[in-house]
Amino acid sequence: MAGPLLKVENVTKRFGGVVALDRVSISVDEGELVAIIGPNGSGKTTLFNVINGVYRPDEGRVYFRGVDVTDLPPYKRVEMGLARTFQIPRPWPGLTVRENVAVGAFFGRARARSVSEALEVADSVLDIVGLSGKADEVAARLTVVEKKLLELARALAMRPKLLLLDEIVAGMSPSDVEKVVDTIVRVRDEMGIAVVALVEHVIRAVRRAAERVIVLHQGRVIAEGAPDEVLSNPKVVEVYLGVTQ
Amino acid sequence: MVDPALVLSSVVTALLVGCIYGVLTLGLNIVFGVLRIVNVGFGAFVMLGAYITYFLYKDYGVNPLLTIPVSFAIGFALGYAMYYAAFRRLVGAPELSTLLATFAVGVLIQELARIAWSPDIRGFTWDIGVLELAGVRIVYSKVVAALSALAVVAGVYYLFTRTRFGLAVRAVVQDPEGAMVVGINVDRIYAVSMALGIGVTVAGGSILAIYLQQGIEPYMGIPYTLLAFVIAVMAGLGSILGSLYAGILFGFFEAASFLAFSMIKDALGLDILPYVLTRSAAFFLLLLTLLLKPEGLFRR
Amino acid sequence: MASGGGLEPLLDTLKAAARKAGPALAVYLVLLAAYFIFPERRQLIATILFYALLGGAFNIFMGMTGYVDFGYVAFLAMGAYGMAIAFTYMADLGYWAIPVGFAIGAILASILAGIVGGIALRLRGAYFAIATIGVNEGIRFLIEGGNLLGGSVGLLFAGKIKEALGDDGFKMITSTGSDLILFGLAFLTVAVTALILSTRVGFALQAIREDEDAAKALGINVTKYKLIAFTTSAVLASLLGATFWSLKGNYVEPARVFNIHYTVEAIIVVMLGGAGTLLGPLVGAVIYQGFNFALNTYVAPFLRELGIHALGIHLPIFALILLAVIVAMPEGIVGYLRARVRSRVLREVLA
Repeated sequence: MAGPLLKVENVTKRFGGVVALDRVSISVDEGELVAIIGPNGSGKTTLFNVINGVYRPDEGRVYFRGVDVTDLPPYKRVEMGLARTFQIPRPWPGLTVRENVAVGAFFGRARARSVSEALEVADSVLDIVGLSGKADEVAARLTVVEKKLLELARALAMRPKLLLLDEIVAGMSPSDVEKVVDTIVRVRDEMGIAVVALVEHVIRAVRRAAERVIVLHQGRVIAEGAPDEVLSNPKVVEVYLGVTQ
Repeated sequence: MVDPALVLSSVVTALLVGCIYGVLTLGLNIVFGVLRIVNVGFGAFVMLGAYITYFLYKDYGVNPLLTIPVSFAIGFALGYAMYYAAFRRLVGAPELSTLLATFAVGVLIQELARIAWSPDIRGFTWDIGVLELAGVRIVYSKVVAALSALAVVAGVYYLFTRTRFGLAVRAVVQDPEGAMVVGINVDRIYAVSMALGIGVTVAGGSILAIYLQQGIEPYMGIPYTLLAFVIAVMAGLGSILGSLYAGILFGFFEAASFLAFSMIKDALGLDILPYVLTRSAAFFLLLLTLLLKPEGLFRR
Repeated sequence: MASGGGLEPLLDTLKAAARKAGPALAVYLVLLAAYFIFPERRQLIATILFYALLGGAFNIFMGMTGYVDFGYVAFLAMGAYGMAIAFTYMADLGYWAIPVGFAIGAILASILAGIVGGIALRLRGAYFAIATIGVNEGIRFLIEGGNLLGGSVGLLFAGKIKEALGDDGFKMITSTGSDLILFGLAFLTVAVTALILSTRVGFALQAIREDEDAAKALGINVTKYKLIAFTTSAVLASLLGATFWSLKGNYVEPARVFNIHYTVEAIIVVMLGGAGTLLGPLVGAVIYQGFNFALNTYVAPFLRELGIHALGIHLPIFALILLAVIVAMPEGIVGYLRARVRSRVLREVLA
């Protein structure tokens, strides 16, 4: 397939008078690991919701695997190989960990054909993220970090081409961050899945793992490039110094 | 080809009955607007108000207009009690719980009414004269009922927009936790709002009884549940003045569809019941509104 | 990971479904045996079956999605009218009138479910409830006001059944015949429920019940799966209405077949027994009918002496029980049932 895996073209999204995204264009290649950084309220999550189909942009188009998906509902995009996690994890609380992941195997690009097949997929994915020991727990009983891993497993069970991770390492201890980032890199390497991760604060691990960084500020892309280069960009420094200390 | 007097009388009826529909829907909308609870047992409270007016007038000779505040007070007390007995624990609960709970309360009141007062259909006559205007007969009691309805709507509107209570309610609706932080007793706001909503509904039942004076029976509220839902959806769930506007609009819809079905009946010589078909048309109007404008016609 | 061959997943699914359906099917078989062993209790058994099925069909939608369909009884009415139409206007079909009647009823119910569900299921809980509460009356007033199919009088077709099936056939179909069809429907309902729970449909419905927004964002076509459950529930309900009211009762009257009491009872039966489970509606029906039986036999005569209209006194009592159940579990009945669903049914499949 020629061209990028994901292409967001001149997307604008307004909520009432507030412009959440202002002519944003980004593209992601197959197997790439991209971090989108930006302070709270910069429009990151809105961008995910536009890519994922929860919101329809007011202007601009979204292309996935060369197809214009701007008008497709979320489930169609998921069938094409788009998976996501939420900033605040939202597993189905009453289902077990294994069942949660099995739902992903049923409805993603994987399209499991029977319960036993879905459960097989679930078990193998739980193994990858290191949650096998909790497979029979009810999701409501997991810790926040475990819920985030569960969301990652659920997304992987869909066999996506592109994985959207919303603040997956936020609130984790440095050692958990290292572990999760390692898992993500491994998944990318072994399964060839492209990953776009939203990050509020640039941490060492992100800098190490990401191949490209895109900076969003007040709904606009203000910088883009290799991590070290972008993070020394004066504009970016100003935004971050202005917001955090 | 259409008798102008018939059209004029239809317009008058639409306006009068529209006000009644408005006040009924208001009771539903207060509870939804503040507590986000859809009162599926709505019709039972309307029935209760009708019985209160019937008994007070028939057995004690109380002027029917004076039964409206009595109904309001009884409804208020009932709503207050209901909140603390059950619904306090259901604010913010899954919709399934609140829907089933209000439904259960409705069934309970309805069945107790049937056991206490028998399923007989009752009625009364309160004749205070008729106004003849350009060949149209306007029954005074119906006008008085409609004016009472307007008075209740105006009172509620004043309460919600011009008072401290109203301000507190709006704060709670916007953000319960924020309201709590500034010292509003959120629990009490919910209790009073539920009491107010049920009070207005029972008072609306009395107003309806003054308007109709007939057909009072334990299950009389059921059709009004449907009507109030149609009107509430047209108004936008939770809207106060919208309830009145949509009520009147629905009055006109009913009058127009009644005329249309009557004309079809005469023109084609069909053996149909225009008024009953009007009730059916309300349902299709509901589906249409939900399909085209689920957020209501009078929102913002 | 994915196993090859086209047949294997199908067999897997069937095996899982059979495992789940087992206990409920066994109970129905016991009930069937009781039906033949104790002929004098046939009326009671048929009534329990009616309520188990009333709850069983309702369960498929409410139990699995968490949405309440207040217009449920309209689907039974569609079935009753379907069968009534077959006998009233096509009596010369003989015994073929029965399958034709079921088909007409099922088609009417599917059309209604398609229209109501297609519109209302796009909307969330409260709006859905509002849309469905009108279904009953909307259709009933259409039939009465439009003077369709006998208008408010309804259709009385015992004579037509005799004409179609003969005197012996009439006697058979209005008693044992329709009771056995009820048993058949019970097996069908259990099988369908088990099959749904053993496939992606069941998983989708549970995800929707747990968190519909998340289900949607994660790629489940929520409207489609809700509509599947809604229509399945509607069709099963129509078969029940056709059997119990038309084949057994031979009389379809709007005021009766659109009576919202049946929706109330369906909710009670499902809630008593446990929503989303296979045995739940059956257990609920046994408790409900057992209670009614005791009430009517022992308490009602006493109340009558006090001058209280005792008929139907079980409804306010059950309304109170329902309310207590809901309030006692503020996290929602769903939350409580969730635990049951998991331990009873899903666990079994997942074993």
